[in-house]
Amino acid sequence: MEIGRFYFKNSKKMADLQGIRRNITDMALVCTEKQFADLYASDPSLQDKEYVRLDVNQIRGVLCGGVQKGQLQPGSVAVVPNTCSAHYLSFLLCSQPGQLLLFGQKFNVLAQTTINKKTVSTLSVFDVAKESEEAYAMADTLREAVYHFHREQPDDLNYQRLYGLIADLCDVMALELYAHPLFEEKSIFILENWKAVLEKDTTRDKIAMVLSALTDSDSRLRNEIMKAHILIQDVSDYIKQ
Amino acid sequence: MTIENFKFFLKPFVIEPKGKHVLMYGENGSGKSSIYWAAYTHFQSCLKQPADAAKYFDKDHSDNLVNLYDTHNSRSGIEIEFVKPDTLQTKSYTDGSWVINTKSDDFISLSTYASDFMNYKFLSAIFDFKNSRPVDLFKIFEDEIFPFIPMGAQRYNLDGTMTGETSVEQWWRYIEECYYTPGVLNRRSSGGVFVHDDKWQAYQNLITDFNRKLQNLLTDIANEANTKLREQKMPVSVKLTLDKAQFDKKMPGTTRSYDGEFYKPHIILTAQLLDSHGNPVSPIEIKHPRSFFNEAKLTRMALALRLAIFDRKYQGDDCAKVIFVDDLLISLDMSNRLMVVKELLNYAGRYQMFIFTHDRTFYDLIHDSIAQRNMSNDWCYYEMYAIDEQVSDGQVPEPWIKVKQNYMQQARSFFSDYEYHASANSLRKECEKQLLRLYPHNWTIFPKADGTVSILNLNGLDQKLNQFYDRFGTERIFTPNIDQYRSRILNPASHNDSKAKVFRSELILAIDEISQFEKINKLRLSNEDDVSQREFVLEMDNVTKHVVIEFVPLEEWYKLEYEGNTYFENIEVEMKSNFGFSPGTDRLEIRKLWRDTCRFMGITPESAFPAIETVIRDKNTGVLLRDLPVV
Repeated sequence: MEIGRFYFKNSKKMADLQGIRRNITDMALVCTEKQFADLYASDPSLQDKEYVRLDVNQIRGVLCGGVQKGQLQPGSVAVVPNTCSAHYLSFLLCSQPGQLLLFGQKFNVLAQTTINKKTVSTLSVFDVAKESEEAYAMADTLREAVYHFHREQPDDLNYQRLYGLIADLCDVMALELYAHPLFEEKSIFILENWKAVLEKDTTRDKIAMVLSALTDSDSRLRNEIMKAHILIQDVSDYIKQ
Repeated sequence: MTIENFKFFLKPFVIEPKGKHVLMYGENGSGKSSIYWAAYTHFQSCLKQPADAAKYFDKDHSDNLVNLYDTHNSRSGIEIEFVKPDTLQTKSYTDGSWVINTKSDDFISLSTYASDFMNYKFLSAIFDFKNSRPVDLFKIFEDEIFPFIPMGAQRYNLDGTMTGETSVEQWWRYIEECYYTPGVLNRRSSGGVFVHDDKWQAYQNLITDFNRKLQNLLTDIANEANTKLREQKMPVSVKLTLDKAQFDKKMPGTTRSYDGEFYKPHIILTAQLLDSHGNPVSPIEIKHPRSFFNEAKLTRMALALRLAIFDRKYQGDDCAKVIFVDDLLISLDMSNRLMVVKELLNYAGRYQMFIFTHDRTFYDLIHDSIAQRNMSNDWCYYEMYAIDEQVSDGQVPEPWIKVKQNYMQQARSFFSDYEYHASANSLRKECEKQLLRLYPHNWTIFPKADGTVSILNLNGLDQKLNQFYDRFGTERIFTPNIDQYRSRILNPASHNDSKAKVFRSELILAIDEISQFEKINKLRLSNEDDVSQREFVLEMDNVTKHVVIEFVPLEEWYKLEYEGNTYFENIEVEMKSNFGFSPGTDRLEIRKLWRDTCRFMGITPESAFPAIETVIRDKNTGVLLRDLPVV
């Protein structure tokens, strides 16, 4: 009586996806402005290292952080990765679960919040396979690039739409990581389909290829994201754990 | 689908298309729209709270849809059984007074977001605006589109908790309710000013998220519609701009005063004319499309938008994908109807379709279009009538549904009932219908003395059968004995000659042979617009000779497919240029051109000639005749 429910079920891949939940300080160094400045001065290798900058003032619905090199701007917290890429950490911190945690579970009732080293240091993140980490990091790289265009031309509806699509991809992929039992139960596979898009041998422009994967009506990735929106309900308990 | 004590249907009414598409003609008041609304109610029930879903079957509720003649408080509801085509596994869901189990798993939720309900309202809405007013589509989106479109995020309550509700309608209803329901948002006791607390902020967040997500959705729809318009070579693009919903705006000239008002959003449709490169002719948008475009262009724009909305729906493999269409075209003229029918039927490969109409002309138009596409066997045809309460058994209006059979089905039914003359008569009609479908149009008519034309009957059509087979090079493989059947079975029976004998064994053979026509797929390679315009190239090459001949077709060009084989039509062509070989005349049949060229190349015997479809290609695209897409 199950109509097509398990058409794409693959438990091994889902197990790979799960990762190990760790405290962020196991995978990165969280610094205040001053701590980062001291570190930057004492360790020349840091000058070429990518890290995540998070604005102390986090505004709801706005990308308040990103990956950068060099000195840290005032009003920021730095998250310097030691066992993973900066874009992977940025992916986690700037997507919906990360934002829910940074807003102390009050994401929907606040316009903004203030964070500090302590807030960030309590966050939990996932240690995932290198291959998956790269796929997540690629999504974050694209999100940041498109956000740049969107910020430059906020009235351009197509940039707004494109940013919305890629931010949505990041949000749903991060949710899949945090709430993987729910996704497994509903046979929803976002990461695997995202990887399939990235692995496509194509000469097309990357953004155009991703846009097509996120909008074409017969695209599996697009339909899996839509399915997640339709079927995945309250994930807050999974994110809190 | 079983509908019981709901809208028009008092007694259980069953429609059983067995996975086929449905085309239904129904008189006004015969109950066909009740089927449409029953399906709508059933699909939507999974998006509603239990009490909200149950109210339609509760006679005491003001919104109930229980049959007006129900005097016994009988149960009321809709049951739909879904069948998976490849495994024949079934799933049943009920939405009714005794049980609502449409939320028992995810199947109906996904099916709801994958399916669509279309009626005339959306297409008409585009025409309904006064020339001087902007085209605001919010109301029509609110009524017709929002219920079946996912927002791309879950709605949350004002305390921040997620609700699991994802349709645009669920977001919008809640946003309205919060403002218009007293006590949901906190006001100060003096003056009724809203308190800027967490609830107020959550409400602002909700409206901001709604605006952003909806605008993204609208941009997506407009982009998809523009792709469709480009495909139709329409030099126009459309844009949907959300004039955002707003709440408690800061009053101009003040720093801390807010107006406490709620501003409904508007969805504004504008258009731009495009040049031949697809760029806007002017940066100024056309704000009143109605005063700028004729009805045909407006219809194309409206249809492109409506189908773009549909294309934005969920399209996974794990649900039922159904399109219900109820009197979609009542406001359109015939040429626009043809265009819409063509577009709609393109979806029949991926969706199960239910098309309802009270317009017999429209019914015939779709029926013929289905036959032309050789898809008749994929459809069930019904006619619905109402039995007046004065005539019906229970003094209550009742539906009467008639399954409309095609001629071949009729021939088989009559045969099963031992009515051989009637069977032969239907067979003759089937034979005529199929030959009319397969022959070039100008073969099927003959001019009369009064200047009008008539359509040939079977005698006239059959005389051209050899010519037809020769035209496609099929050598009578489909129907070798049809001449005998015509003279011995089909003609006498149709003339009602009671003395003529129709033998059962012969009739079996005739039914079998004539049914072969249904299996012949006729596909168009180039259309009317291509005649004398579209250039093709015949090119052959060997060590000593190289021939390139460019030509244009002088007729539409078709191919036939039958049991895995393909046969290309021998049309007349006009040579435009030649290199290496001259066929001696500019106008000739394509097969003669191919044969003469092969002989010139020194290829013998004829069986060694390269296939015609491998040496002819479209000049512009380079695609071989063998691989040419069907138009």
